[in-house]
Amino acid sequence: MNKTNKILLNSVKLPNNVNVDSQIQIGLYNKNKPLPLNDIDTIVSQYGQFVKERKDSNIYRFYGVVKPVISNPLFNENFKIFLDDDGNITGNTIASSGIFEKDGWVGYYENDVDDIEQNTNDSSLCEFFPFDPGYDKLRFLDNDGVQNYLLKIVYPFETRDIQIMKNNSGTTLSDGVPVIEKIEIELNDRMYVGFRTAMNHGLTEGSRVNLHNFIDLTSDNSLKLGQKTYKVFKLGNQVNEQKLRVFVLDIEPDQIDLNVGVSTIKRVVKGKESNYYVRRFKSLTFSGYTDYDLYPAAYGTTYYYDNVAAFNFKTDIDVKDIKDNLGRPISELYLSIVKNDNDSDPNSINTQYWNSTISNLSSSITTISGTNITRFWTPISAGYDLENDERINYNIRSYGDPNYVNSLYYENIDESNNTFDGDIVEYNESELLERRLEDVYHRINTIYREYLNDIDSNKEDKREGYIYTPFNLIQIREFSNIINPTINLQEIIDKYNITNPLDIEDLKKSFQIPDYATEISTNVYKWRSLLDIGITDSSGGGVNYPFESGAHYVYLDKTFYLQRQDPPCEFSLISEDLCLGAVCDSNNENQNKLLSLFKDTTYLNYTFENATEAANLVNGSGTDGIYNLLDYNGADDLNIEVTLVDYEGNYELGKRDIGGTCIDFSTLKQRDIDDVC
Amino acid sequence: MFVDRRKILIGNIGSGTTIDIPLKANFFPVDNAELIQDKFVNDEVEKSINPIVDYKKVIFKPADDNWEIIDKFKINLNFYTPDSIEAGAPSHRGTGAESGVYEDLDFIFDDVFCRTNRFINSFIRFSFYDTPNSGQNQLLSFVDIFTQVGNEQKNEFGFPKPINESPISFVLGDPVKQPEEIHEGYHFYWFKDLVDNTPNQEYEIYGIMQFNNARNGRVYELGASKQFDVNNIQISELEGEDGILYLKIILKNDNGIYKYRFEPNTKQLNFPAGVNLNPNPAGGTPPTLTFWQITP
Repeated sequence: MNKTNKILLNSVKLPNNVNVDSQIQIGLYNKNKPLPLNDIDTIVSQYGQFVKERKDSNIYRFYGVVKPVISNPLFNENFKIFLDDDGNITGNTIASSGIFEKDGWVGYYENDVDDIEQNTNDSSLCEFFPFDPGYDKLRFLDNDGVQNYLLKIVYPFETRDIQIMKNNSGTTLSDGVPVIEKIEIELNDRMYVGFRTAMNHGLTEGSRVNLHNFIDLTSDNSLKLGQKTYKVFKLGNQVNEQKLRVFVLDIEPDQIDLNVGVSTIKRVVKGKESNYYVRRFKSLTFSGYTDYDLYPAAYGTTYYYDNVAAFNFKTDIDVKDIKDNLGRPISELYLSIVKNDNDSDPNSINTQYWNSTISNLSSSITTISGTNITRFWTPISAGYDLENDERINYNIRSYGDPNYVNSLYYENIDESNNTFDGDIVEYNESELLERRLEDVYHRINTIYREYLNDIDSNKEDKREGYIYTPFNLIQIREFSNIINPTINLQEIIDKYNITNPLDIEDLKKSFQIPDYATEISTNVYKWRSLLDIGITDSSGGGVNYPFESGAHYVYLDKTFYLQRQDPPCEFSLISEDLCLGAVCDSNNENQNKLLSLFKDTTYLNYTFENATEAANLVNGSGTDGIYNLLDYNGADDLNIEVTLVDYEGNYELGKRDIGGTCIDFSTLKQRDIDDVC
Repeated sequence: MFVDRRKILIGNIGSGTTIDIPLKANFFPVDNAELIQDKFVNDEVEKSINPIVDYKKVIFKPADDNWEIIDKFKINLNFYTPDSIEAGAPSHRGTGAESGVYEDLDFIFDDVFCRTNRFINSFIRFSFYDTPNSGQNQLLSFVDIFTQVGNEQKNEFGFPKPINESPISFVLGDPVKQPEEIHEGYHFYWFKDLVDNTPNQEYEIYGIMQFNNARNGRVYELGASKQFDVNNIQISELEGEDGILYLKIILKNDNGIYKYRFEPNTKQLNFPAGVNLNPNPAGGTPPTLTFWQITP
């Protein structure tokens, strides 16, 4: 040994130091960890994987069909438009006897061989031509290269408040459903009070309502209107009609009155009043007509011979992180169908003809804003199908009625917009559900019809337009029919004195409280679970549709009704007495008037007022006399009575050319196509 | 053994006194079982699951050389005339981009007039491949277009023309803009994902035209060029990028609008213009594809 070291048990060598036991911990580490010797088997569930992928996907693909029910009862004029021999675009009036209806479309049958050559090369004898707006401006599948309707996928993203009733008190929809009439209803020898609402009230028998701004006529204010909630006794009027608009309370009619404009009701559920508002929709597709393909559906024809249109959205819709107007994940999307107000082929002679007729109107009316494009259609307006009362705003059926001239509507809507005003809904915090009360309607008319009196002072405006509901529900998810038990985090927070917001947030997560849960009081939550796709709740609610290529495929089968704004359901016969002849009609004024009446769409028939007078003329006036009333040359007076039909709707919207289908036309004159071809 | 020994005086222990005893629960894996379960198995499971493939197809519309969509186009077929074959010098009827007549296929007037089964069941098959080499290409899809008795086959009174004047032509039109025309074959359907993820969003396929004659059961191979020596057939003349057999078709995503167009090679363009889908400025005849019979 070269060197010897002495190790002291203690640090210094002192007499009092004694030996002690010292221990040193020695860690044993092995970097070569053994693999388990047993076999490792794992089963991958194909269905489980499918469910996982389906649950994780937020991509939706929409395809389907639109079944249109469309026709043209609101035509500009009963004109046949063609190029004359000089190449000028001409419009000839089709006499009343030549006007026909085919599959709901109003027009004429080509019966003049000469005119066939003047018209397009495609026309043929006995071919039916609708009056304008015709197929090229109204049909869903349009062969002129400009689509007549624009499809979009939209979702409710915010709400707004509107003033349904005209009033100076600032009462709006948020104050409740407006009431416009008190009705006395007798049941079992007792009198009850009924109330008519301006819009659908959303009540059922047994619902509870709060009455706001009603008048208590009892001497002791025993109705306690501000404090008491009333139960709906029944729905409907005395004959059980209009259940959506009339409700009955067990109050004697002479004990209560209303103040129209400010009197409102609110439905109450477990002490919570409903909220009422308008939902606004925002588009999820932005490329217009290139977002989807539109083509004829195979074997697709409706009962009314309208061609069914098939569509396929090329654009995928991703709903991840998108919240609805209540801050919830998206459960409803809507297929919006909005009329294109610039659907005309500028080269067609029909378009050029109608453009020329409105040339004397202001360019602000006839031109699309910011362009030189002449309008055929008015900009779109919108409203709701509300009660016929001049004190009501947003009644779409009243649009254009001079009695409603100060009413409010949604105006200047264009299909290219990305946001739209939508339906009126009710939301109750106790139920945690929205209920749709009123669909929004779009309204459109032709410029020619809307301003006809300005174009020709001898003619009356035709202010009845077309209306349609643009938003079609797509239920992509559903909320459970069960409300989760209320979670009261505040109790836990108070018990453990939790003050850190992060800790409170962790607590919410541990209780699986979703971010859309309603906080009914501080840190107290309730909510409905959003059912996964393919999962149904106890009442059968839930959705299920194919999942393929990482996306949910939702097939849509929608019907699109283009309706009349105010179809006339009443008519009266009006007569015009005319005297023809060299003496009583020396300046041919009555003769011209007669010709004009024969061409009127409402012309029905004529009769001779005096049989003896007519009989004498048969013998004496010759072939150009009584046999040719279109050019009567008889010297003797001939008195005839011309009868026309006056169609009457609920609103003053000017002249109506055609009655609504609610009229029994069998009482009026009808003709067969054999009369023409 | 003394480990961290503490002396606790009894006098210091009062009521409610507690002693903290630290309990540590640090996890020390002794082997790889956890790692295998948590990572290896999960990774392998993930690998075993095939990725999601997008099978979404969209409609492609035909376009001209400037990628402008055309509403309709015509396909002409031109066959060797029976007389020329019999004479030992096979030649086509048409001299330009025009079609043959049904007489060349031995149909008779009654076939057209009465739409006999052997007439209406005859069809052209447009087959689409991924490459223009028949030894290695794969059939992607095909479309059958049956014989038509359209305006071209009728006289001004709407009656079928004589068989020696009745052209072998097929007019295909947009189902919306040309509702009166035949639509089968107008649209092309293909995977959106494949086109969207190619350079310039253009995807190439190659088409072959065949005529299936129900009268005699024969399949006629057709090429988009007439310049072909039937007595000296070279495979290079038929196939490949420059062959006459395959017609190149480009599918394109043009800013969200899906289109296709036919792109002839130099040989197919030579003479006469067999592939001309540019609009006719004078109107009338729609853009036309003309195919000629390759072997008699």
